[in-house]
Amino acid sequence: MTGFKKCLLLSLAAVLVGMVSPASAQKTISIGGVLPFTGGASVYGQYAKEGIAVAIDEINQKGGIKGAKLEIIYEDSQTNPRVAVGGLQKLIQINKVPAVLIEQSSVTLACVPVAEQNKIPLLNVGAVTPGLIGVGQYLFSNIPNGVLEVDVIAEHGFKTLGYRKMALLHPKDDFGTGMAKRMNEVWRKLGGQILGAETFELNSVEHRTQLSKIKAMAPDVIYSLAYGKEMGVLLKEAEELGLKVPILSSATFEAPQVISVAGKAAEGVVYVTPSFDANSTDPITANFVKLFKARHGKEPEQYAGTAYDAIFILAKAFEKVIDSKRELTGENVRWAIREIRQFPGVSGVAILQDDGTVLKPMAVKEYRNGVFRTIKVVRF
Amino acid sequence: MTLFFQLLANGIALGAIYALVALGFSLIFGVTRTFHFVHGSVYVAAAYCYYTLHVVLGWNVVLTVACTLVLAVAMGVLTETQLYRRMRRSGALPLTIFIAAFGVLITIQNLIAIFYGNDARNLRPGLTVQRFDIGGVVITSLQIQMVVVAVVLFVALLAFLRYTKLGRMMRAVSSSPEMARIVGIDVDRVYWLTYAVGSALAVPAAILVSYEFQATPDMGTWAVLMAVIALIVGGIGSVFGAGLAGMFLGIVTNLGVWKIPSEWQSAIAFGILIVFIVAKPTGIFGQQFDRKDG
Repeated sequence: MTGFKKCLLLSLAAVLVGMVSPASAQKTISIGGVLPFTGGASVYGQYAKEGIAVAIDEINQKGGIKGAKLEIIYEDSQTNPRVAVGGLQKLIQINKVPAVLIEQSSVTLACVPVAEQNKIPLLNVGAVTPGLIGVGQYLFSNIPNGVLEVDVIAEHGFKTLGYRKMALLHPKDDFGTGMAKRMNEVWRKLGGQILGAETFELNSVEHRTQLSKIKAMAPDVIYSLAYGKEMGVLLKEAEELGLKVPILSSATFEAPQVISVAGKAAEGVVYVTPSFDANSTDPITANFVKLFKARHGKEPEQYAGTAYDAIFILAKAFEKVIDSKRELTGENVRWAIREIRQFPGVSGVAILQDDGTVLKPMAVKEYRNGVFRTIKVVRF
Repeated sequence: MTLFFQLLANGIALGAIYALVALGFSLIFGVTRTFHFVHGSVYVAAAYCYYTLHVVLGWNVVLTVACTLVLAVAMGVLTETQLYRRMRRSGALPLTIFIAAFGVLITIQNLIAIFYGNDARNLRPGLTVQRFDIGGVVITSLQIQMVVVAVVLFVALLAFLRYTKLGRMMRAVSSSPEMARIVGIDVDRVYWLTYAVGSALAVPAAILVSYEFQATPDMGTWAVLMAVIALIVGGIGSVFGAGLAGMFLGIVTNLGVWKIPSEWQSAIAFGILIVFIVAKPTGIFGQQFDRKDG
């Protein structure tokens, strides 16, 4: 009797499966996203996610990718390379995704070997450490490498603002050390002086010692890097210590969290970010800003724009693969991305380079009187 | 030289916090001989309780502190009565109890991370503290509060141990539970009361740290590690020593990086621990003790 029951259940299950399958006839293409939703860089993961949601909605409303619905499966990297590698392996082996979006320097560096081994392209939407240049055949960036950022801010700081003696303050991770190393080289080449470098652990809650030591160095300017809230804490502590030295920073500075923590202490910080103007009249940008506001009820910023473009780059690559009657595998997607070369996106035209990096216009900006204001845009 | 005094000032403020955590930890260890790692959880829970009630829900400070104290004391006492005491009765080795305590620490840290996320919680947006500039050395009103609270509680705890009946009973149990039992002291009662007093001491430290820095789910692990170092450097069983050693740790880790990169701070703290374990295992104020009972 039990045997009979089992058979009955099994056949019932089979019927059910049979009934469900034809209903899901519309194909779905799933891509992966290994983004930091918690940990130090969580704010940038959130930004990317918001941009991605807008892009995926837009693509699916226009009929998807050659009729197939696009979806993204997220893994939270927790700003932790070890966790990120686990997430990426799951996406590749279990979800069988043909491409993965990624961000944050240490996480990306850790994930590159896994992607190479499995022949799955990674599309980077936030990691900028110079260490990423040319590390893998399957890594593509839609965010300009930090090398560009450092070169632009160094030139602006040295030539326009006239600073000479610099102190470096950065987290002891791949992003911080990579950017600081580049700044060290560029600043000296320009004729400036590096007085010293102070580092801190990621997510440290206190930086008084480092700031006290920088204060004692008496620099003209500080090149300070940190993620989100930590940047805010740094600025606040600097102000509390009476460290009144101008600060140059990176794209990571442009986050409301920095301002909410630092308050007035954030005034006057000058930084470089990939150029993105939410008030632009460019039709591609205007369309994105309109859709973004409708969905999230606020203005987008650069990271959301970069991730939005990345989804369209992938969509274009997928279409190329399907058009050429190839199978949608990581290898073929890589081939198709390589074919794209140039992509007009919301942050200007992205020129994809052979070493996996991208060239885009960069903006020198300043936080003054409560707004992020563009000083100038540098094109390559 | 300004840098030296600035680092000294930062060190004293940080040392005050280490001292506060070490006081509770050392009191509990001195009386019960348990490596109460859950003290770190009590500390984190206190910080997040304060954050939730005061910052998120907007309760007033007095009520929030009262609730936070109740939570901390309850956590300490429950750990003793529900975990340690049961384990002792079933003949668990001190090492097993230590590992269980460590497990609880990690579990609670993870639970808090699940509920609140791993992101740091900021209790003090913008510039709200007063600054005092003394010849280039800047001290904030919050740093002064940290030191004052630590000194007051340090003196109060020593007075409590010396002049109150319960304090004397704690010291009696600390020096010999067997003798204490013989003279009619209810050792179990003294144990849980010790956990209550020790856990309450974590509350001011947690609140002040959250204001000065930020609250993170893993803040307890670091605090309890510093307390262990202070306990060993100060001398096992000496509450007085642990308090001073906590202050000493704060100062040395700050001054130690005067001429070398700041990233050596934690290496210095643990370096001190190793030096003491090898050269002076009884610590500065520790008495020799050889006991076989738990």
